[in-house]
Amino acid sequence: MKQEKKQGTFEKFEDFIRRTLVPIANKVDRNPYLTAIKKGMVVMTPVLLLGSIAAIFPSIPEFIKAPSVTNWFENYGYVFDLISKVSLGLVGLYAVLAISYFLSESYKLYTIGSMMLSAIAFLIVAMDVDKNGNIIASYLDSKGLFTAIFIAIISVKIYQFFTKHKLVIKMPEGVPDFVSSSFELITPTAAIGVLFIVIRTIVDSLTGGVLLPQVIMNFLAPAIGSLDSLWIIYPILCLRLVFWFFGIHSAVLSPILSPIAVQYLSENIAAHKAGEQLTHVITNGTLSAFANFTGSGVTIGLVLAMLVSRSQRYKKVGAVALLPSLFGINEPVLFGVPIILNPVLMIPFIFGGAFVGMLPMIAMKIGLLNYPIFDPPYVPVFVEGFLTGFDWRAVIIQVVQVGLSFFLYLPFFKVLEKQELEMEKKSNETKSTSVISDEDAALLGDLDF
Amino acid sequence: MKILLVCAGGFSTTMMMEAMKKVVKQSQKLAEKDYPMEAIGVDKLDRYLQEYDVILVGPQLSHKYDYIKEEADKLQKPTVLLTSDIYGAMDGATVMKQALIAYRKNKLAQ
Repeated sequence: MKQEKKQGTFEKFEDFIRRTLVPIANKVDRNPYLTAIKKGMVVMTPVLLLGSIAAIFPSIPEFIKAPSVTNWFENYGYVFDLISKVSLGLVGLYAVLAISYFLSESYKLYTIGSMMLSAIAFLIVAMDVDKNGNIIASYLDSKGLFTAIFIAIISVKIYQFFTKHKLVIKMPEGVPDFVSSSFELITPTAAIGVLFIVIRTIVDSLTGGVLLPQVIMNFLAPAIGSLDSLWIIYPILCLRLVFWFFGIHSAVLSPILSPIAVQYLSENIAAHKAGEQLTHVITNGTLSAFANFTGSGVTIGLVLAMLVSRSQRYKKVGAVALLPSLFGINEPVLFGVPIILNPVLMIPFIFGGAFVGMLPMIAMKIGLLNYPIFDPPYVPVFVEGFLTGFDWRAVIIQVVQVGLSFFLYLPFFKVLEKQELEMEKKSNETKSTSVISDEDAALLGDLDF
Repeated sequence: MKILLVCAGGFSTTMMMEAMKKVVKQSQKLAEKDYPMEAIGVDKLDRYLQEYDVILVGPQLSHKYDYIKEEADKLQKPTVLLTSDIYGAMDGATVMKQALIAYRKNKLAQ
């Protein structure tokens, strides 16, 4: 009786989430702005990679003390400063290009034209010149990242408005496409140029010479800065897992998280290069290597518990799930156990998984682990942990994560295992049902293999 | 018959794809060269959709399935939303069968 009541509440809760969270996820995934931001941040990867390399390589002479190495770095070490300026120093500019590309692509606009317009608009408000006419680019780096996002969206929207309402100079039929496209750009260019020059001068007169990116940063600082606090990080990690629990990929959150992660990583790299104290724990590297260690919800403990289970089914799921888990992929666990929509595993997966995932971040905060300065590519879990901050202690902390994960999931798994063993006993007599109906199977005909 | 597998990042569908390729390889009746497959993240869908005959969608994208189906329907390509249990078990044989059935049904409907 009690069991039934419990099921009822869970179903009510599930229904509630289905009516709220799923439509939100759907909206986010289909929102052209958020999708463009998400895709744009993904292509910042080469920029961040170069930035990390430029920060890490100059410390080579500390490890290899050969005179030739020291010599080379003394003579040519400046190239790393150059790489750093070209990559992280211009990350805002790259972001405006990438986001306007993806947004104009989704609106089926002339993409390269939109990118040019957005870049011009961004440079008008974010660049400065000194008395000698030299460019001052200090806001084209991560300080300009959020400005870049807004400007890309506004510029592309203006361009779209002009095209939609035919406020563009149209060439007669027969004129080559690229020629007419360039004429099309004349009116929106004028509009965007005037608009952003006006914005710049207004900001200038209101603030006494402060640039727009700084104003936006000041405005967003409380929101962005809050992600440095573990008290904010924990609910966010939980929320990622809530999405997963309802079968929604947590990439739904990345339009909000990834620009911040990109900004944080570039600030960390810059601080590392300057020999200053690093401050940010949330980067894409941290999220992937630690929060999603062996997959969302740090499910490695559950995999290990399944491998030694007496249930045939769980043993099989464990075997399928082990290898991908070591590369941080745990869909076989999420869907195979399943964790998704499984009331027994909801609490340990969401609240426990988020805590185990946050453990390395706590270690960073108390000085037991280096802060992240690199977003590793897809590599096995322990290597990924090491590469994030080039710290071997990451491996030890990940071993602790494995242990904690095991003891977190074990008691709940035992409940599932007991149910499953009873089921297996019963189902020896009954036939299992297939997703393929007999009618469909007939269609396969000769191709049944 | 060209098969396209779609998930969020293209990682877990790559596993599914490998399982399916193994089934095709071991099968007496199916030849590998007849079934080119690719696993992609959903963000790349519009660039790939045109070239493929069957679209298989991972269960973690069930909230997006309507959109994917809509896009595929425009090009008259069949879609299959994979269920959690087959996906979790990485059951390549069943998914391969589902793909073949969807393809044949689509052919018959046209």
